[in-house]
Amino acid sequence: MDFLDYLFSNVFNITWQHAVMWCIGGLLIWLAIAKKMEPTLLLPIGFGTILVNLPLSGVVTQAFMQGDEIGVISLLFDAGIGNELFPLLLFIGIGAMIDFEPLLTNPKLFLFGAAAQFGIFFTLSMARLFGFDLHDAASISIIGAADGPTSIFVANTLDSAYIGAITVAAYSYMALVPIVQPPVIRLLTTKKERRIRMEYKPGTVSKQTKILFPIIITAVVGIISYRSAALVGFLMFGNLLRECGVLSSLSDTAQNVLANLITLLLGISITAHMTAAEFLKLDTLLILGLGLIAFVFDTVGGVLFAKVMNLFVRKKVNPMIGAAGISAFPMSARIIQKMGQKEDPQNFLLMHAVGANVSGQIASVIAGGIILNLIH
Amino acid sequence: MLNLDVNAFLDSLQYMGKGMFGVFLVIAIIILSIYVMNALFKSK
Repeated sequence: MDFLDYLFSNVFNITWQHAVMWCIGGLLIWLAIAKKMEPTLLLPIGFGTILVNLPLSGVVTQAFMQGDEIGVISLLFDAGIGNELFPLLLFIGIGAMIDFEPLLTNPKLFLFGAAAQFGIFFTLSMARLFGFDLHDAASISIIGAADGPTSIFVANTLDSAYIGAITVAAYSYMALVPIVQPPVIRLLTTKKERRIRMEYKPGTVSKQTKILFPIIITAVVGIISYRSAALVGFLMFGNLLRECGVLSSLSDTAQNVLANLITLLLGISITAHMTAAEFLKLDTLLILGLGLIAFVFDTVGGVLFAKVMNLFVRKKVNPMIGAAGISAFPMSARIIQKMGQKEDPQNFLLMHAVGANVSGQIASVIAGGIILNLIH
Repeated sequence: MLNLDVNAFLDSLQYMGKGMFGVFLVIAIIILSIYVMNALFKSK
């Protein structure tokens, strides 16, 4: 049988850790296909997880006697994530997809975006309580930004060893927003509060405002929260392409071709850090738990802020709108609309929820920059 | 890892305070600039 060694010698390099990682990869693929949970990210991550955990496959950089052999996925990681290029390019596409009009119509909605970042800072403290060092704790906390590119950007800038687990947690919980948010909202609000109606006046924003908005946001955030200048700049550049009215083909390309291409590469590149040796740790379970805490306390922060606001304003705000202040767009806004209509079929909260939701997009980037300002 | 580090937790609360203050401050400036833009450029 010795003559078959050249075919089967690698079988003996398989460990139970590899098998567990194949199961995790399979689970991610199943969630993507069967449950339609963030399939654009979870499917490449799932497949990549299986690929990088094939022993001696050479897709990730490995040490051999003759020196390191560079793997293609490690190469992609270094070229696109190690230098933050992919998350930034993806933000051009996201910026081109977002219509900020509901937010510009009612700028007060921006406050909910700020309040719903509470989960980030609460989770930072919780991660410190569980013994993570400051850089890792800050990287884990940014799962609460509910924003994949920001999570990857911050975790990578802080050189976190847990970037794989953080990315998986961020995208998984974004997909689980419809399961995570409603019970927390119901726990914190009364039926009467959930039935509060809010008036919406559309079409009151000028074209000049829509064009100036991305430029002014970039300047303000870039100066004050300078660490997020690149993130917010690329997001707003995408939005300027959309709103300027003279670059519709570039806007379409950013929204579709660019976003799809980068998402494809981002998912598979992340798996450079999904090897059994890096992923199968007790810390990974803790990170998944802390990610859930981050999403729950984002929701708590948004809802409670709206309730406090109602103590001081004449026109009451439906406190559920506060929960839409997280960056998970548009899932969170849709949930609030659904919950509102369940309580009162004539209650249309969607545009307010969308306003709060897109404000969360900007606020989460600001929060990411502030984390870097404070810690890096 | 599961040893709870209460001192680190208490020490990190400063980031919660500074972080939330920072986010609200930047957002407040943005809200103000939107009001100014909406006042300067009225929709036709």
